[in-house]
Amino acid sequence: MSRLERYNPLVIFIYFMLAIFIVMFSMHPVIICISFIASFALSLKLEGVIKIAKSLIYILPMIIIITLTNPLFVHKGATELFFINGNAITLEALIYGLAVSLKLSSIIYWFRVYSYIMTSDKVVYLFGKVSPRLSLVLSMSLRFVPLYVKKFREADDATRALGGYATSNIKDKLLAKLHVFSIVFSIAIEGAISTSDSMSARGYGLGKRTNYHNFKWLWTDTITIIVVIILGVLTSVIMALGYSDFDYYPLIDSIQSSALSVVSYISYLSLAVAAVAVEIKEGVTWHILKSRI
Amino acid sequence: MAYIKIEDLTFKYNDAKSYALSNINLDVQKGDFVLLCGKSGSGKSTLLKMLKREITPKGDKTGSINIDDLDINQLDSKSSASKIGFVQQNPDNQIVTDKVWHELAFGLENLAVTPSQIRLRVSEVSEFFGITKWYHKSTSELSGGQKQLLNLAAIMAMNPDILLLDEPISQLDPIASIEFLQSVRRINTELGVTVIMSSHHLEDIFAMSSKVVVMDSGAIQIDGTPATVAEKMQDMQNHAVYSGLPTPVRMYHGLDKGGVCPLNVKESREYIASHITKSKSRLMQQDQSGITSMENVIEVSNCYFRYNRNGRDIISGANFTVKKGIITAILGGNGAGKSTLLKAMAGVVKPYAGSINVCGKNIKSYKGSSLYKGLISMLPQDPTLLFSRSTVREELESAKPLRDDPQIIPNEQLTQLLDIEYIMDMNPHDISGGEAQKVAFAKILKLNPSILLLDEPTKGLDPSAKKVLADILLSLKGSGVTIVLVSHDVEFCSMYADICSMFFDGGIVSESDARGFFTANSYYTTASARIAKGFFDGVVTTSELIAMARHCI
Repeated sequence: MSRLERYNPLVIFIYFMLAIFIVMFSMHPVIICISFIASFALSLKLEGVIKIAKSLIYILPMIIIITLTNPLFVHKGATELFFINGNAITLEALIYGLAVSLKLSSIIYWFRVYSYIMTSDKVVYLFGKVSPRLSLVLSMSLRFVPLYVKKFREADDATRALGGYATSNIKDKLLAKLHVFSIVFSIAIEGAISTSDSMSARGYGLGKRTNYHNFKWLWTDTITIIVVIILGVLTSVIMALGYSDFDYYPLIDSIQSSALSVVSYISYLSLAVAAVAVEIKEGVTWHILKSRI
Repeated sequence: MAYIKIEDLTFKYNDAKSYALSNINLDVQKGDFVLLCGKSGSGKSTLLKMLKREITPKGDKTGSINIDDLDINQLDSKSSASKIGFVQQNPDNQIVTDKVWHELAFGLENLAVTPSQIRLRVSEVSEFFGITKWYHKSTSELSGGQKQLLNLAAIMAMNPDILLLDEPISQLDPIASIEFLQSVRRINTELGVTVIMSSHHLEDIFAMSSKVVVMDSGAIQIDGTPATVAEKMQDMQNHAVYSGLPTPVRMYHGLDKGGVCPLNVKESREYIASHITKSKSRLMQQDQSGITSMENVIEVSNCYFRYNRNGRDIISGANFTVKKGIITAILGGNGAGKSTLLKAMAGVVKPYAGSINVCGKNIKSYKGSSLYKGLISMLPQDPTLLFSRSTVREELESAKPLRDDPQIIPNEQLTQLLDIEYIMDMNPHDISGGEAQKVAFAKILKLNPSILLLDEPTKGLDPSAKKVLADILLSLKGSGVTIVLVSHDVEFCSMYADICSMFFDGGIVSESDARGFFTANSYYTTASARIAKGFFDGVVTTSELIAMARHCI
C-alpha cells in the first residue's frame, strides 16, 4: 500500500484538484514542465514501469501530432521557419503546440494516479461528506452494476443454449439480445423488491441515518491539508495577479524572474512533487526498516 | 410462559382464493432452535414473514403474535427492526451495498448508531463469522456461501434476539451449507439467540434443532422435539417431507426395532452395531458392463478453457464422454468448473484448445441454432434466466418444440406432474426458488431435446419435487433421451444416475457407475454409505441400507 493511499480521501481529493486546476489554467512553460515531470514521476512510482511504458504508446504520438498540427492551423508568430502553400510555419506556433501537448499529457497522468488512488469506497466516502443519501445510492449502484453485467452474460449463455440465436445474421442477433435484455430487466425488478425488503427489514427509512466509513482523520492529515491549501492558494493568487502570464505570440516571452513569479514556481514545484516525494520517502523508510531486521 | 406465542393466526393473501395460513398456534421458548419443514407452498415462508413486521405481505390477517407478552404490532419501530433478524433465500438480492464492511454496517447506520460504536460492533461480528479476511472486498467478488454468511453477519451486527431464516441454504452447495449451519448453531448455542428456520434439507439440521414443526397446506401438522417428530412420522411414509427426513431416522423406521431413534451417522452406526446379529455382508453388485459398449453422444477431448487471457484455466485437459440414453452425473466442489464444462458441451463457451464432438460431429460445425434444434438443451443454474413473460402460462406457451418428433411427455401432463398448475397465472419471478426450478424444467422439456444438460436441477426443490423430477428423468431416459446433470446432490445422484464422474482441478478425475463411485468414496458419498461402511459394503441408498440391515438384524 502506498503512502498516498493512507491519507484521508479528502486530503487526496483536494491535493489532486489543486495540482490539476493550476496547470489547467496556466500556459506558463515552467508550470507545465513541473506538472509534467511531477505527474509522470508519480505515475511511474505508483503504477510501475510496464504500465507507464504502455501509456507512452498513445502519449508520445499525441505529443507529436499536437506539436506538428498546431503550426499548420495557426500562423501567428514572428519567427518564420518555412512556408507551406503560402502559409508561414512559425517557431512560436510549434513551441505553443508542444506546451499544449505537454499540459494535456500531464493532466492525463494526474488523473491516472488519481483514479488509481481514489478507489470506489473513497469516492463513496467523499460523497457522504456532501450528501449521505447520495453516497448510499452510489454505493448501491456500484453493487448492482457488476451484478447485472454478470446476469446479462449468464442470461445470454442460457438463451444461446436454448437456440435463442437462430442464425448469425444481425437481425437475429439483435432480437436475441433484446430478449436477453428483457430477461435481465425482469430479474432486476424482482431483485429490487427483495433488496428493498432486506433494507426495510434492517430498519432503513426509520429516520436519520449515520454514515459509517473506515477512514480516520489523523493529525498528519490536518497538517498536510493545511500545507497543500497554502501552496495551492499561493500559486493560484500569484497566477491570478498576472505574475506568471506568458505569451507565445508574436514572440515567445522570456521567463519572468520577479520575486513573486519565482515564489509561484517554487510553491507549485513543492506542491507537485510533494506526492512523489512522500512516496519515495516511504520506500526509503521501508528499505531502512527492512535492513534492520 | 412462551417467549414467542402465536395464537389462532390465519392469513390470506389479498387476491388469493385460499388461506395461506390457517389456525396456527405455536409456542417458542427463549433460546429454541425451531425447524419449519413442509413442501413448497405449505406456508413456511408466509409464517416467517408474519413474525417480521417490516416485510409482512398484504392480506387478511387474524389472530395474534406476541413476543415477550407484547403484540408485535406494538413494538417500537427501532426494536422491531433490530431485535428480529430475517435472512432470505436468495443470497444475492439481500445485499444492498458494494463493500463487505459497508454491508455489515448498513443496519446500524439505519438505526443511527454512532460511527465509533459501529466500528466496534462490525469488528466483533467480522471476527465471530471469520469475515475479516474478506472485510475489504467488494460484495460482487464473493461466492454464494460467503454472500449468505455476510447476510447473516449483517443481521447479527444489529444484535437481534430472534433470528428468522427462510430456506437460507437452498441455494448453497453442501460445504457452504454446513459452514452456514454451523454459524447459525453457534448463534443459537453461544449467544442464546432464538432461531426459527425453514428448510427442505433436513439431513444436518434435524438433529441440530430443539423443536421441529411440520407444516402442510398452511397448517401445523406435527410439532415437537426431533425425536418425537421422528417417531410420529413413522406411519406417515407418504408425507411430502418424509423422504427429506435424515437417513438415520428413515433407517430407524425401516428396521422397526424400537429403542432410541438415532439422529446422526455416529448414532446410527452404534444402533446397527448393537442390533446386528449376522456377520459382515456385501451387497451384490449389478453388472454394468453394458454401459461401456454404448454409443458416445458427446466426446470432450483434451479441452482447455479460461474466461480471460490472464486468468487460470477453469477446464484444463478435460477428457469426458457421454453415453447415449443414460443419466450421467458430474459431481465436484463449488467453483471447480463443472458448470463451465456443461456450458462447453452446450456450445455456449468455446474451449481454446481441444475438441468437442456431438453425435460424431465437431461442435463448431453446427451453424446457427442447429445444435439446439431438438438436439441439445441446457437448464441453467439460475432458472430465472429463462423467464421473460408475465405469467408462467405464457412462459410455457412461448417454448416451442424444436424438432418434429412427438413430445415425450404431453404438456397437460407435464404441468400436472410437476405440480405447477396452481402457479400458472403467477409472475414467474414471484414464485419460490423451487417452483421456478420446476417451471424452467418444464420449459426445457417442451423444447423436446434428445440431449438434456441440467445444471443443479435439484437446487431448491423439496423432497417430493425431487422425486417427481427423478420420475420424469427416468421416463425420458426410457425413451432414449441422454441426460447429463451437474449436481452437488449426492443422494439424488446415487439413486438415479447411471454413471458418476468427479470433476476436480479442471478435469474429470474419476468415473464409474454410481455404486462403484459412491462405495469407493469415503467423504464424497451418501449418508447411507457412511453408515453402512464396514457393516454392509456396497450399500449406497437408504432403501438398500434398510434392506441389508433387515437381512442381518
